[in-house]
Amino acid sequence: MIGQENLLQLIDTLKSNKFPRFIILEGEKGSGRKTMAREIAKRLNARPVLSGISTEEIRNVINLSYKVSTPTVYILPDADKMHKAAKNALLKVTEEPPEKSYFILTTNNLMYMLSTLISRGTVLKMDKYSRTNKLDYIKLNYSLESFGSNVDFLCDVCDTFPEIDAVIDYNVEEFKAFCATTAGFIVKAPLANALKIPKKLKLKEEDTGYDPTLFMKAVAYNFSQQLITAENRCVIDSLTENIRITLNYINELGIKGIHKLATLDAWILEMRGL
Amino acid sequence: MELAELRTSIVNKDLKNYYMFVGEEVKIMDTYIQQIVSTFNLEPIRAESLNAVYSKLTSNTFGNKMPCYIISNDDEFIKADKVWERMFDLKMKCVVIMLYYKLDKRTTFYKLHNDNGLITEFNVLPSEMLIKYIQKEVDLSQNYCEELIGICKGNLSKILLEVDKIKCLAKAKDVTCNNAYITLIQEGVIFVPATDLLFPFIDAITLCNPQLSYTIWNKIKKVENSMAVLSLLYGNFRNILSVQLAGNVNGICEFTGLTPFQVKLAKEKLGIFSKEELVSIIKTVRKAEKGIKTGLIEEPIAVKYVLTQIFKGAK
Repeated sequence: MIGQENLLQLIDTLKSNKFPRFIILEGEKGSGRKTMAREIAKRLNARPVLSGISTEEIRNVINLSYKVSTPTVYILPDADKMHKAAKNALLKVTEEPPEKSYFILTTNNLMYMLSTLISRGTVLKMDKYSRTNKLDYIKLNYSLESFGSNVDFLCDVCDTFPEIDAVIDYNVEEFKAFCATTAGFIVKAPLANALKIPKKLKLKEEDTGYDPTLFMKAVAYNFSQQLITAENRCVIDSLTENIRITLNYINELGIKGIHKLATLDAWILEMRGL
Repeated sequence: MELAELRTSIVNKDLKNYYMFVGEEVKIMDTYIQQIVSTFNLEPIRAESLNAVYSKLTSNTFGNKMPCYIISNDDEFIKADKVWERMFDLKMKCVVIMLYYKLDKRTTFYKLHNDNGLITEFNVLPSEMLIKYIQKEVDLSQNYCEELIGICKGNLSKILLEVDKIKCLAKAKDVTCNNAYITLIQEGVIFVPATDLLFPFIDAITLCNPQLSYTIWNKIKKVENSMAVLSLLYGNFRNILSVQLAGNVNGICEFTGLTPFQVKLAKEKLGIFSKEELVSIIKTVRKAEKGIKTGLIEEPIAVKYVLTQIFKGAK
């Protein structure tokens, strides 16, 4: 496992006392929450069981958890997407924890979890991956040298390992060039043309194109690179404002079920001062 | 079993003991049941559930005719997995026809019956065939036939009920069937479902007709999902903005990234709102959508909020 040293240290500390039976592991998509859950199971000498999150599956898991004779860690991924009935069923586990079982729920946003579950469980947060972690990952899976100066781009734009994989899959050079061109285009091109940009991105599952969040992160990176070399006060102010707006909309894209096309349009309009 | 296979088996007098008919096309389903009953000289018996007649399935009959049990939407049977298997092997001395309005194709129940060639689907008939059915009964023009098929969602039973109304009115008032049809639509005797008002609703807003917009919204607000309405509204206003911004450029589709159909629709609504108003509208719609998602705006009032914002300056 690459990174997450602080979290692993915390887990070891918890292990030396009484390890909590009900954990909520919060971290963004691709941050390695399931890998971490398996690592916890390993450190507890328990059997990891990855379960589905339908109400029926949750009820089955709960029934089983009271019957198992060997330590078992039930991993329930994307718990924020669980039906309310499933979340409520889990309350029983938090109140009368089974003897041999542990529950690890993963979520990318605590906001979508029941407050009663949060208050009864132990919330652990995945750490952000450091530059060293990302370099280690690239070294382990790809040839670091082949990316040349694009390694900086990969490390600065991507927050998670799957994001690194995605950008490499796109072709780093092409993706970087597209984002750089588009960064200028958003403000300068006629609005009708600028509004075509979102259509080139993967807004729906069936669409082809770049991931909107990765695209916006790359555009923000581009603005920040320009900022380093900018000398004119006006340019500096304008670039700072562009970065602020872009980061704001990257956050908005993270809202569950948000209309991505409308969010990207709003970003373009705000960048143009409309 | 495909419908054609069922037809052939009836013609070839190949009777099976167990059938399962699935679909919304009840009228055609009934026709086939009557065909089976008359061709094989059966005695049709409607039963509430399979459980109610299960004990009689293997009994000898004392009458001249073999019984044909017709059972509709027996939900208990769907759950009774042990009974399904028994039904396949049962040496029945009768015919059982199970009717279901809808079945989940992912279930073992469906798969098992389908794999055993027992399920016959009765789906909506093609438009051309439905038009023939309508025109066999009344002299209604092709366009109105198509409209009626759309209103009834292709359901032949519903279509024939509406056709009967047309026939009666045309005869009573001594008018043509086309005129009778128009009257029935205008008077609301032929019921147009609210869902069909979604596009007229979007058109009313994009054409800046507050009165019509509010009237339609009051009719459809209970059946339409606010998020879906807002999403459609957003797309429409966005297309209008793109086309309006493009002006008279050559290759407008390429310039805007829209399809020719989207451009055509947007062109019909050009100039009603200014560029600034359109930008403000799409921002408002997005605000409402985001508000629903983040809990800042209650879903039931979101569309009305958008309408108020759009029409606040309208006369």
